[in-house]
Amino acid sequence: MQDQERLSHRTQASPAGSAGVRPAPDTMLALQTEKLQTRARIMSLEEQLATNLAEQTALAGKVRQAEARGDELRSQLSVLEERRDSLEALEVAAIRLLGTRDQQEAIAILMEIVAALVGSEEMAIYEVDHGARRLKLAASFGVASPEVVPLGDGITGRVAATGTEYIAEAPAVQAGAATDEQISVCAPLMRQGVTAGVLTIYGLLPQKQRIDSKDLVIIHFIQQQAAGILFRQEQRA
Amino acid sequence: MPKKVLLVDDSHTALLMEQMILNQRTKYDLVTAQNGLEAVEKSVSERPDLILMDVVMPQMDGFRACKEIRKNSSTKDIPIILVTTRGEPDFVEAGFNCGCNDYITKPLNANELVQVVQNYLED
Repeated sequence: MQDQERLSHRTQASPAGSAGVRPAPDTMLALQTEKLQTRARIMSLEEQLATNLAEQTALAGKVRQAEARGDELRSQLSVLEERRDSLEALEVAAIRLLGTRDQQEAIAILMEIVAALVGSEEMAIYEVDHGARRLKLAASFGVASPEVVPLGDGITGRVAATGTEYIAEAPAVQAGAATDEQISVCAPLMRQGVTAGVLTIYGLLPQKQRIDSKDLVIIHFIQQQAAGILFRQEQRA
Repeated sequence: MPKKVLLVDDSHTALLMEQMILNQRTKYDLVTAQNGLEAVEKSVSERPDLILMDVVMPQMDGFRACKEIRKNSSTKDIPIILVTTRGEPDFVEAGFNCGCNDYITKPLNANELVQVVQNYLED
């Protein structure tokens, strides 16, 4: 609009005789100049915009990289926190179990460890008599476990015979029953490479969904250390 | 002055675990008791800012200890968090009826324990 007004004004101001139809040459020149300047300005702005868009794209890429790095760090942190929790539980188990040489106290401590750190109040400890080919109940808590189990019989007997631990894929909830179906974990208690006993953990507390890595750290520690305190006499193979 | 937490449990293992978790992650002073009777006594003598209380204990269980602590005007306002293996709704309700403020279940999750404690102790 302004340009048209300007053009009209210049046309009216042009010398008489031309009837205001053709703009004066200097006016045309000014218009051409202004057009060129405007075109140059547009090109400059378009260049700046292109540069800005490129910067945005680059920044967006960096943001995505930073987010991915953040996810990776969070994942590493989670793993380390889990490891720390395991080590703390292991330290507590070690302080407690290795702090006694008394068999009865060791049994009580084992029960505490399984209840407080693993999450079950149903367990049994068996001593293996390889000579008689049987397991004898040393202690039980929360369930009425069989007094004697033949070596190789059921989960407990097989763990004693093979020295291989058993972990249930879907642990049971504690129900006061000492059956194979209720066994969540059955771990051989080793002494000098020989299975001296077995720790059988039955149903888990309702709020405990599964046996996790922290539990396994504790159970493996018990496997390696408990037999030396619990069972003093040498086992006759 | 750091805040003080009274840990009550008849299981030495459970107490040790709670101490380890809180010592590693917080700066609270920690004192312990091994049954409900001792908990009531120490709630008066130690004036903790928070009590973590087991339920099944000899001499005096956690429910009764909670009631006793609530009866005493000098300790009635101390927040009490029950720490228990029992998470059934009726059990939890019994805990709240005795005057506890909150509860968490065993086995303890370190992050959960710290979060609950900080909820009551941090401004």
